[in-house]
Amino acid sequence: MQTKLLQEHAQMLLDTAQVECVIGYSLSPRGLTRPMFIYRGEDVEQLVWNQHSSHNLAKYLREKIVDLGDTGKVAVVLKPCDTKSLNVLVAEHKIDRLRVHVIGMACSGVVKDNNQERLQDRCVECEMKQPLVYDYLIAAEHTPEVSPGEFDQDSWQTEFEDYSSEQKAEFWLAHFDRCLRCYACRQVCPVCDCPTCLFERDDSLWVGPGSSIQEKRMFHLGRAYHLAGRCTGCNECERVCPVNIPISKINQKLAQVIEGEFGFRAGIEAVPSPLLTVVSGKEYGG
Amino acid sequence: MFEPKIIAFLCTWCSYTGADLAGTSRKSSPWNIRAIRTPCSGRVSPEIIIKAFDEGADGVIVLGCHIGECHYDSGNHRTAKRIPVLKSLMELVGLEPERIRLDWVSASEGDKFSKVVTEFNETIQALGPAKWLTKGVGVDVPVLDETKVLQREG
Amino acid sequence: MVSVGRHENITLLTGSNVESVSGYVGNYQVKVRSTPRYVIEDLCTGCEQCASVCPIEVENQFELGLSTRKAVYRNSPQATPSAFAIEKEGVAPCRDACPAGQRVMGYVALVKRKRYADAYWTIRRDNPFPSVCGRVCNHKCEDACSRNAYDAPVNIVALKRYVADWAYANRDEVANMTDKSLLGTPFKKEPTPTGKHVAVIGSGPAGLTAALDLVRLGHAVTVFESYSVAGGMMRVGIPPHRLPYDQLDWEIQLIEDEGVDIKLNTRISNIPGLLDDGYDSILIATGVHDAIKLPIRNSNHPDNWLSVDFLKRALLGEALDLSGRNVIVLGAGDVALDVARTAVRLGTPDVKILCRGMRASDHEIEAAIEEGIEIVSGRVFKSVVVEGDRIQGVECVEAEVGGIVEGRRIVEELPGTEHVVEGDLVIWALGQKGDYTFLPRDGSINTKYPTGIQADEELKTTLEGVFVAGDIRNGWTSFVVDAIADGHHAARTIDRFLRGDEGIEEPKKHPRVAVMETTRIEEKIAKGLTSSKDRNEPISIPPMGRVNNFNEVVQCFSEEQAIAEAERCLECGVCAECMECVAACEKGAISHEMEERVEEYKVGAVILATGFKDFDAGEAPEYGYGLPDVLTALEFERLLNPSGPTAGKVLKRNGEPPKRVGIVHCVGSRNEKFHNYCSRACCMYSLKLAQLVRDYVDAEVFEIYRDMRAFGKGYEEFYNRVADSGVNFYGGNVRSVRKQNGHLSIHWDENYFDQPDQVDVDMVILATGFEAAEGSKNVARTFGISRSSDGFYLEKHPKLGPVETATNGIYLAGACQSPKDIPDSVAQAGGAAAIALALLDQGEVALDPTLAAVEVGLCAGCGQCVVACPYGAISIEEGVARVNEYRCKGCGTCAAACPNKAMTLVHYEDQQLIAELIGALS
Repeated sequence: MQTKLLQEHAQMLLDTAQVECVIGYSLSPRGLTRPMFIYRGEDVEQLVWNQHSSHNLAKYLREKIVDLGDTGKVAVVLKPCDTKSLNVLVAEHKIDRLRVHVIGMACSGVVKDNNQERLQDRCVECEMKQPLVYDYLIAAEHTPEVSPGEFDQDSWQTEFEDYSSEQKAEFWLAHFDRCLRCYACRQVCPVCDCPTCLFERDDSLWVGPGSSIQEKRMFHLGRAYHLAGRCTGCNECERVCPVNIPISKINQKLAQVIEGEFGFRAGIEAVPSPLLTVVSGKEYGG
Repeated sequence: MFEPKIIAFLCTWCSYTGADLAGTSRKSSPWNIRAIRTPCSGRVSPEIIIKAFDEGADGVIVLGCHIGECHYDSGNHRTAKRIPVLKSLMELVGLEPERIRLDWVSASEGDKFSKVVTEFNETIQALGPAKWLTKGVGVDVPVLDETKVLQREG
Repeated sequence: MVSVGRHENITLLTGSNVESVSGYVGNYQVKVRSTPRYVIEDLCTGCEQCASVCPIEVENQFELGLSTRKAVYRNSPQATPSAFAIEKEGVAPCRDACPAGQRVMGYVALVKRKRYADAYWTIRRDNPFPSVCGRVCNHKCEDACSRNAYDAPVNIVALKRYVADWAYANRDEVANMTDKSLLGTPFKKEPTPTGKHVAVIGSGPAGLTAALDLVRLGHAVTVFESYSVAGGMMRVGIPPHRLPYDQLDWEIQLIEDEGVDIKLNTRISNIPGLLDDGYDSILIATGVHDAIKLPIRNSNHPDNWLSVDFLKRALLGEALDLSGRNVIVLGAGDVALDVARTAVRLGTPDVKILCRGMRASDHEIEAAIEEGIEIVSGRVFKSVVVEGDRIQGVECVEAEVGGIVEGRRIVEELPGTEHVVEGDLVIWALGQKGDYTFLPRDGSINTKYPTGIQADEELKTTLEGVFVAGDIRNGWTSFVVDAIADGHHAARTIDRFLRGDEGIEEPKKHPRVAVMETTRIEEKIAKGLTSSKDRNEPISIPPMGRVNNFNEVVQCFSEEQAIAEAERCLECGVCAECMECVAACEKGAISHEMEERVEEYKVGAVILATGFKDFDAGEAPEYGYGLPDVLTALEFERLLNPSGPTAGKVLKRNGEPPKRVGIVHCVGSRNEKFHNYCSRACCMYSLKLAQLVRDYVDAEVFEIYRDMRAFGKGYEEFYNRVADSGVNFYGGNVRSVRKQNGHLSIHWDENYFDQPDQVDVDMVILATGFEAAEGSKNVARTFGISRSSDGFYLEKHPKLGPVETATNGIYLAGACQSPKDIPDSVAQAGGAAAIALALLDQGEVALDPTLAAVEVGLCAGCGQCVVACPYGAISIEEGVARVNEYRCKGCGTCAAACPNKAMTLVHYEDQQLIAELIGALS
């Protein structure tokens, strides 16, 4: 049982004081899976691992490490897709890899929030069953069959590509109109972590706090550009949006552009985005 | 004839000087090009280009030094990487990619400056005014059609 | 140049490269890496004695490959500084692979030049037993030889043997020569006695090498040998058909002549007692002289002999007669073959070798088979079959033998294949182990698991003052050269033990191993600098003539073979450290121990004058470069120079002066295929060359030019003079230079109708253009300046800033900025010097106010600005970005990269730009 192994390992880490905190999943009183911070060995029974473990726990690492001060390690439960986010954070020197103990979970997919018979879209074609980095691996066990669903990324994309500019504009404007500026997408994203977000400035230089479509569009486009080459496609942003805006489609499109232009995929290695890196000798046109 | 509002970001050392040269050599260029001078094309951030469209531009052209000749060593390399990504992003949300252009003009290329901005102007004229600005849903944008929302279940 | 070299305010750093530059205008820190010259500049008088004795010859790059020079060289007699320099590419792979560090390249090159005595000293410098290694070494040098990648390695073993045999044959002469083998070592022939006395137990290669080194350091050494002859395994373990005794005995005699006292027939079993007797230090070098036997049934029958015992008895002169005995040798290595071949020579009618898988060297196996020895491999022995009191044979099973994994061979016995191999004398040659019974009973000298004597990196055992070297250290057999290396190491560690800080240090190794790549090998062979012939192998006595005697089987090279083989050496490392130059230099100016220096200098301003590179005419084969007598202008200049390859005579390849010389303009310039620009200086130098040709030889000169660019003071007048002096001028764009009807034929598109478009000459000079210097890309990067599209450094402004760059404090002078001739270069240099002086004189620096600035409260410390900055002007300190205002050039790339715009560019802030946008679009 993966949960059992996880609990035992977490207990060992805390009891031997190898880590100060274990970030994992637990069940809420209503039975929903949610993130959990465990500080004591006796609490490890609260840890679970199931097909609802969708949250990208890499999000909590930076703050937790800052909280601990100069020393102390944090253990975190990461699915393979989450370990990609970890790689991006390490590549950008936001996390000291040596202060993180990664409990890597082999994963066969997580289910949608409101239809537990179906895997999430991002899991349907996911080929990454094993975590990319880990300090301790909890291997997969046989899980009950869950039907992947009928979502077909390619056909959606092709259909969308065929839209005229006007149709594309209409599509997105209609969605951005429904945006509440709740910033849930930004808050849940592991690589989005500026102390003061560009789009929340007091002087409203780039956008104001208002709800005109243009402002909301600027927010989404600007944020998508800031994530280019850094977003690992965990799709948590889309999952948490209260009004179902298909945010991940924008990030996916940019990820494809980056892969086409630079041959680069975020998070596969702890290497920063080519948009950020120093010019190489080849590019220097000398 | 529709006169596009075109913003041209020019770098001090190469393209702005090239534009100067076009002027002193009496090469004609369209007068509706509004030049914004920065020290280097690397100063031009994608966010500011989006802002330009948000403020009513019909087209944005960025002109920098040739690769390998940047006055600040490699600022233009950064621009060369950023602009294509921005164009794809804008295309996704319905802005024709021809409305953003990146090119290289050196200080001695008055001819090229004139040619490039004239071409760009013609391209934008053919595309017509940018339909980027919007008054709101229900006014110039239709209300969301439920069938176009991607289903999250089933 | 001389006045520059002598000026007290000028420091010349030669062989140097700027590795990195940090800081800002007025305050630069420049890190310079200098390759050593290996010659002390102040002592060298330029007498050239070193070059005359150096055996290594390489292409002379200064003469553009038109001639050769030695590894120790000086570019020209007018060089500043006038000292010589030694080119070291790195340590040659042969030397690097040799455990004893033999200077292989050196002695091979000396053999090539028939300097056999010098070759002998070079070998002896690191190896007191050349005759042994020249016969039985496992030659790691040959395995590492660069030539392996091309055809076959140089036959180094045979060459070493040639020198050893020569030295022995001429030993009386050699005895009267000055011993050069101590040059370049810390040893002396007659050192000051230190008053310390060292006991060495064992006179094998390890013990004797250590002993010789120690006496040369001034210590008194006594060697205790338990056998009746000295030499260890070399003497009692290698049969004379592979290694004759007399040469070895001579080499041991030379060691004794230097003061090593060898006490034979003395077995030591009380080591602490030796210390009490007054020895200051003891070296255990007893080797591994016990053969291994497996405890199978009947293996203790008296007709089970051990390899070591058998060989010792045979080699110490016991008259063993094996006629009528059928011998079975158990074992798979070189020792098994030695045993078998010795047995053959002692009269046995039948010898079989049984093993799991043969491990010896191929040529030994071949030689053994030729002598009638049967090798039966793929066998596992189960028991010795005895009937009555005689051995009948060895029972074995067949086995499938695989490779060696983690030191153990994979063996799968095949069931049902038991059989008996017949014989009545079994000799065990499975390997050897050490005898530890002589060590003190109280365990004060620890052994190590599984075999060997415990020792640290200083070869110290657990008993103070006692050291260990050679095979006994690990408890298993190695090769002679490994023991020699161990012996040298032990001598150094013992010296350090006895003399503390005054003891000799470990030798430093050159950091780079100079393996030559295949393309370079092919080049060298194509240019005739190295022999292309196949490897020579020494011949052996045919089997019939050798099985009943112990005469040496493998013959020595003849002199022709040795020289032919030595010519195959590629001389990878260039300098071989053979020390001939040290021997020749009367001023003691040569110092091979010099090391690379890295120094940091604080400077206020930098002037780059890195020059240009000549266009490589090989890239434009249409101009005929590569045909004989087609030269570039620079090569022709070398011909004219009195210290050049032809001592200043204008000669064709066949040695005769030319009668008709053609000069072709614009090679590599003004051409879309190569460079669009005009190289500015070539027209004028072509005119100069035309005049010089007429001065030096009586020849007709034809100049074929596209335009004549005579732009400077007096230039047009010079052109007219040359035109009036009878030089023929044809206007046109040269298309090709070809060999036609025995002449060189130049073809061009003529400028005007009805003019000639072709001329036949017998020498062609190509006026090659200028290109950006090699490595200018890296130099530009290091100093943070830009280059223009043609590759030359970019000036700040073509009219208003021709000697400055966009980076404050870095200035340009000469052809590195654009092609130009000498008057213009000198003028530009004066300008650069003036501006640099003006800068330094100011004492203060004024900066452009357009700089990047951080709003610390917004900064997330994400570091994107740090990587975006082309000048490295930003760093993250205490979690937020910090801009170095002196390095910042004000480009604003960081401000665009910052995700939440905490970074901005003063005077071009986002508020300002957006305000401009709004205004422009209203």
